[in-house]
Amino acid sequence: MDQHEHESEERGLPVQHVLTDTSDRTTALLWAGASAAFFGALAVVALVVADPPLWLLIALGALGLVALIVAWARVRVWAGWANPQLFMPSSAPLNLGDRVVARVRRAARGRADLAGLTVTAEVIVLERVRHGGSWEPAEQIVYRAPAEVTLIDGNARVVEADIALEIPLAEAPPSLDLSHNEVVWELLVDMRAPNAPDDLSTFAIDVAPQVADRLQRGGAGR
Amino acid sequence: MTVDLDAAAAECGGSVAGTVHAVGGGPVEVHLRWSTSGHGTTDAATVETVELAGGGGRFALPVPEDGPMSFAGKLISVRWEVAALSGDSEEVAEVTILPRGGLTVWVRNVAPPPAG
Repeated sequence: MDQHEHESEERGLPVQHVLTDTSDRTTALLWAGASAAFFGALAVVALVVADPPLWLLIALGALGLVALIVAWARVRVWAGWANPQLFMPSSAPLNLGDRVVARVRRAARGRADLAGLTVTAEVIVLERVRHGGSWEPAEQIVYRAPAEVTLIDGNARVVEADIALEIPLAEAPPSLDLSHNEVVWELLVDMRAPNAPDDLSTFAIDVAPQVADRLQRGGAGR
Repeated sequence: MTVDLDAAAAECGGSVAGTVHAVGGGPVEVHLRWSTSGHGTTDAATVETVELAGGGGRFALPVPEDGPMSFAGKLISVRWEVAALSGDSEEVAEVTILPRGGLTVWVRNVAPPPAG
């Protein structure tokens, strides 16, 4: 057990270092497949069909491009190219009342160095609604709480920090994704170093309508 | 026609049970449904429907594991209800849907469910 695991146990936090998210890989592969299918269809239509309609070529090309962009975004996370990157204990959604430790990793770019990096984090919950045909949604923060951050490794090039996430039991509803109404959980991580650009990153968190096991077993209240 | 729920609250992944008493002899459709209200356009869905013989009877309707759970937020509220329809008449009973595993936890830590 390393020092970090020991400290995590002392804080009563679960020690889980499964720092991979298989859903990123699955999503990346699905979107890459979709992109290949659209571009394949585009090639077939362009080469086989005599005098193909322009709108069809444009539509297939646009869909292929969109799928490729989405696939690329997921590949960056899966392959660890996103910077900074958040690692959750597992790919499963969090539950109401959960306490987990997430890890954030930032690598320096170019000549920047991360010596003296400070990291702060907070969890926010937004309610976001669309009314009628309005394009811009209205939104309001309904919950916000700071998260405890522990720097666990640091050098001038790569810094990691553990973030203790506490999902409240009843102060905010779980994630909701409907056509016109959404509840969105986000982790905001603010990283500042004297010799590197400030970085404020937002990571989406999925919270299920389920009470954490520790509370169902009769543990602490909210 | 009346709709009597066994309990005023249920969990996601559980079921809502009760009894419908209908006067007429026609069949009764019982729907479990949710809808949003608030500042946005309403989202709504009927998640389960069961048909009872004339005069009504017992029903048990499963609640989806993913909810959505009942809540009253600042811009959004989600409300669940059981609706019994027979001919032109409709009777509705509101039910509170709590998170999975939340029935006892909610009562202990948050608030008792509304009286049934």
